[in-house]
Amino acid sequence: MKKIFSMASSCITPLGFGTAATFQAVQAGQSALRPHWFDFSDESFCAATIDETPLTTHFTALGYAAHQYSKLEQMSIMALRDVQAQFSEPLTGPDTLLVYCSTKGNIAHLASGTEQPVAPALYLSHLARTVARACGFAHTPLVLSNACISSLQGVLVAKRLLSTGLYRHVVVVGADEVSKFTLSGFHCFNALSRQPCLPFDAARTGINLGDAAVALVLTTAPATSAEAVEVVAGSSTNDAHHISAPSRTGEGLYQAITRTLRQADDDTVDFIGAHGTATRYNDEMEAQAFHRAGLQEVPLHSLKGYFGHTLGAAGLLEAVMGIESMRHQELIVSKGYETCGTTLPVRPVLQRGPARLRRFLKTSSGFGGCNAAVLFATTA
Amino acid sequence: MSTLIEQLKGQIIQELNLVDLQPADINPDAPLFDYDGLGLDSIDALELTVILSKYYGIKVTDPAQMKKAFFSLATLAEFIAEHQSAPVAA
Amino acid sequence: METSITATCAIRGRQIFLNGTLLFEAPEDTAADLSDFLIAGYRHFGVSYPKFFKMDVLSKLAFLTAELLLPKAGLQDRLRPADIGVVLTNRSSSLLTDVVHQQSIAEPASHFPSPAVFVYTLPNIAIGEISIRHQLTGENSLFVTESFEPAMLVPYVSQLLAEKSCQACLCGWLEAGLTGHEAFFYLVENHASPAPTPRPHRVPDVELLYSQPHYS
Repeated sequence: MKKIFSMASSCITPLGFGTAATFQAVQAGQSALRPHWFDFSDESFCAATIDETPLTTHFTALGYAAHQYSKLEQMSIMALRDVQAQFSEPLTGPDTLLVYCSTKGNIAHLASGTEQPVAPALYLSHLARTVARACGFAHTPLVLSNACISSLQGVLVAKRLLSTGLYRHVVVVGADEVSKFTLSGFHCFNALSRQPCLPFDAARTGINLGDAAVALVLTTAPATSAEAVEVVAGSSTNDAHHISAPSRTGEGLYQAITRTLRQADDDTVDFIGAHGTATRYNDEMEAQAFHRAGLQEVPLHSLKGYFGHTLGAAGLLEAVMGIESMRHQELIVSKGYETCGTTLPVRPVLQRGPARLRRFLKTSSGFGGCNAAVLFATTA
Repeated sequence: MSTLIEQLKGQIIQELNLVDLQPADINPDAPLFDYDGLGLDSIDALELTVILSKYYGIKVTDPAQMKKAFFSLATLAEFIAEHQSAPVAA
Repeated sequence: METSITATCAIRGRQIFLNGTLLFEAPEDTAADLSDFLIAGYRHFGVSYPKFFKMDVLSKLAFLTAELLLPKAGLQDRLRPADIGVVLTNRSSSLLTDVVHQQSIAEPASHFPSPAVFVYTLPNIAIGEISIRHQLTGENSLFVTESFEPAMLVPYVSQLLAEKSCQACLCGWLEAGLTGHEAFFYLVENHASPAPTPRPHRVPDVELLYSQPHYS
């Protein structure tokens, strides 16, 4: 099978516009989680949101009229323009496909237009086309909406489409924003944490939501840069157990991990980018799966303590941060972890520091029982 | 109490979409979350909290309290009777 | 490797087709509401699965289509659950249920969002429901496209089968939106098929099967 490489990336997050700025903020220990008040509760809930003023300023400077684009569209276009500027080719030709991954897209539009409850921008394919057109893509984008594994699965989909030879480059975007729609939903699931979330910790009480748009260029073109990272293998599975509750045994995630490692010639894993939402059941399920896969001693992190849960964008955001971790040969601290809070212990990273990091396993799980795992490796 | 139980039966059948079930089919003492009982799941448990909040003005978030109150229809009715301060439009 | 289409099932308007033959047509009065029509279909085929009534319309549509297609195809007798993938495409995502959830949170004074509604505000929950019912644990994904696009779906599914990510794949179109509903599912298999009239898994063949409900 063709080798697939990841070449350029961009993360538009509350911690920075661009991958370098975002990674730097993470390594400085910053968290974007702040208390926010919503009209459905007297209590505040932590969320990680991007302020509109700097966003719009940055977006306008790219030559766009900000009022013509929603916040999510602005974030997505900024991420795409950033990777286009970094890549040696324009990424707009017929040999390039955009795979746009989101759970709820412009769902905030559903709240505003009561007289016209279905603004065209509510349709995910309309949103993706708006973004693709603004960035000059020739092809109609492909949209993937698979709950919280969306954008990590986008990497898998990109790998397969590149393997068919139909395209030379695939740009994967993951984008979602904090909305009253999703907040109130997770609130009625008793899944929201008022405080900054504590993945894998004994005191964890639930998730925080966050804004993010992330772009990653995947290509079959031979890596010219020593910093290229190979997308070695990956797999997605379904628990076939429950539409919202994670499997107690971690079976689906375990299967996704073992299938991924079986595909690779070398099943070494230097660190794991866990999903780590900080709900009681998710983190417990992940610990079960990592143990069953024999990965319990491998250092792992959850990045939800920095960005909150960015839903469809989370998998790609965390994959890109993991790739940066390898490029800098430096572990990322699993923010919010102090005391083991899972029945079977795992090894969240407690201290930032240099390490030999060549192979990185990223996992995600989501509603609908879906799980995904992708193995990345440095080529140097 | 028996009026409350009958009222709850109707609300549970409607809100949990238990379409093929009649109120008479529900034994007030049978476990709600057991396959021998109604076979409800974790989402149904959360729906029961919505029923408590919407029809009885009772907020319940403590999992231990939920576990006790949601054992059967009879325990649920007892819980409502204990916690309901003022009746809310049903 | 040759892959072939071994079975199809379509739900269009108030009609249900299996392998190109009309199996059920609801009387007009029960077909005005999509949920009522799907429940009529459920009862007609004698399905027994109480959780069906808890599903939103998109999941009901997916469930009923898969329910008619999969057991008849006998796939589970030949393959392991992990070797059966599900790849569906749709236009409106979970819009109909999104509207229901939105209505429940619009007014702070009557803010009663329902967990049983919110969970269906993701289109891939329909895949979850099919997976639970038929114990399918393989590759699964939900793509959103403007209309049913075999030119996108066929190469992707062929690649899944070629790289052995699955041995068979339940594929198709699953739409329930403001302008109507339609499900068109088909099974693609890797190995020599036991189906009496397997068709090649190619874009023109899928287009033909989709455009002609009465193909048999």
